[in-house]
Amino acid sequence: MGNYADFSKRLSKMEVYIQKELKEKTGRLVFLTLLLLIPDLFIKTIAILFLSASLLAYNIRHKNAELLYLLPFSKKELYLYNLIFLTILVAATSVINQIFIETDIYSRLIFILNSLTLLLSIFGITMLFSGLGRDGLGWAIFMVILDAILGDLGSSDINAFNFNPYSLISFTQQGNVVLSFLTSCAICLLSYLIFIRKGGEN
Amino acid sequence: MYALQVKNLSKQIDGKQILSDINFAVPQGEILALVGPNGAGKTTTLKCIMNAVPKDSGEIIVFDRPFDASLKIDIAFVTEDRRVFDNLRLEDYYNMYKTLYPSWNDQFFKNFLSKYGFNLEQEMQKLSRGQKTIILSILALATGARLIIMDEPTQHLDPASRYELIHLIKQYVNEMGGTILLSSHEIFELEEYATSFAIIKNGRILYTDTIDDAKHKHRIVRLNENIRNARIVAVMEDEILLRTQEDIGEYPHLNQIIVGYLKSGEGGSIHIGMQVHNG
Repeated sequence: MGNYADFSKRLSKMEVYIQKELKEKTGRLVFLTLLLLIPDLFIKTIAILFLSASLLAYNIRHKNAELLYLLPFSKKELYLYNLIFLTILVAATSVINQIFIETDIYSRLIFILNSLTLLLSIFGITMLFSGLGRDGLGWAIFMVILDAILGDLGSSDINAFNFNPYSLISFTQQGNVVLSFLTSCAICLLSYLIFIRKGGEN
Repeated sequence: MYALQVKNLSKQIDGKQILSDINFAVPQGEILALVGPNGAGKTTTLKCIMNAVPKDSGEIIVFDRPFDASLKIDIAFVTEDRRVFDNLRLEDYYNMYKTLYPSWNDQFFKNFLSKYGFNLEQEMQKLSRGQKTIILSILALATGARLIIMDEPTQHLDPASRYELIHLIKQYVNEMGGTILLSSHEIFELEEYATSFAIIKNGRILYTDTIDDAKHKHRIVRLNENIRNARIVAVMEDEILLRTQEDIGEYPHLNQIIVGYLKSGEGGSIHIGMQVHNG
């Protein structure tokens, strides 16, 4: 019962935060969500870039995050609320994308995983640089371009003469779906740890 | 018991030392005013307490526990710039605070809402600065938090609203047993509500005490009076502020003590058995 009450409180807190974000940034969030509905990974990348930079990272960039920090939210909670909200948004829009495409279940799942890999990396990079006091959006754009260039060099075929191991873990290229997903998880975890450490929380 | 203890708090921003070994404590059920000129480090100190600005070193103890984010349900904060979230109505704020603070006092909030004629549909960012001050203060007082931190609470208020807010602050402490830490550079009104104070300048605490004890520990003497066993805090025109237990001169007003320390910038030096001549 105690655990349920605690869980319910946490859920209400997250709901309050997400409602605040939706009311504060309605136009931008609606537009970017519509972009996510287009079943194309390049457009998804752009939408995820700007979505990741539209929530807490936007408040940090505009020196507004203090308003949140002065309320009973921890930096850990804020990071996780952002991640959970974006994960739901990206996963849900990817599922909707796949409803209208005639393909097998495996390809559908891969597309959803591709989208989540993009999200975890881009969100992780945005928050990492925001936490370090840099421009999260600017750095995320730079890193996406860099990753796309590095991932595109050579081949992701391990037997090819011009095999490029980086393409296997590249989040834009995703030469290996599992490896690139795991790399994205690692980027996101690292970003979380640095964000809360730099924010004065252990 | 202390509601808040700040120990050796230091903070640098862009290589500049903003706070340097800040030490003070706020006993439970009291109002401590952090006073000092603009740029002294008052706001940074308050934000460091809440970890809105991460500290470089030092300790923050809240209700005998080292500060962590879970304690924020017992601390409400009113910012100096009265900044609010864009596009949020008063009702959104009401719902947010009611959810975030478990001891929320709904009756208190609604009473003041009707008293000041606020409408829940009003957009927060469209309120005047004075209205924002009142509504953010009422929101903070309605949280039921045991510690409220207010940055320049009476700034931008008309005399009637200022009087009302001071009354509310005193009521919150005297009747509800709450504790308030506030910052102010309006030194002439502090005696109306504060019980203790800390003087901050250039990121350092120059002096902290209860108002009553501070008055007992200081005297104002004329320039040509004999002074013994006293530390000269500051020379102010034709008067001297002394720190002494000797029964000389007059007891100072709080604003004289504050101005004296702010003029001195340092603790002063001890002069024993000397006569100070005018000119």
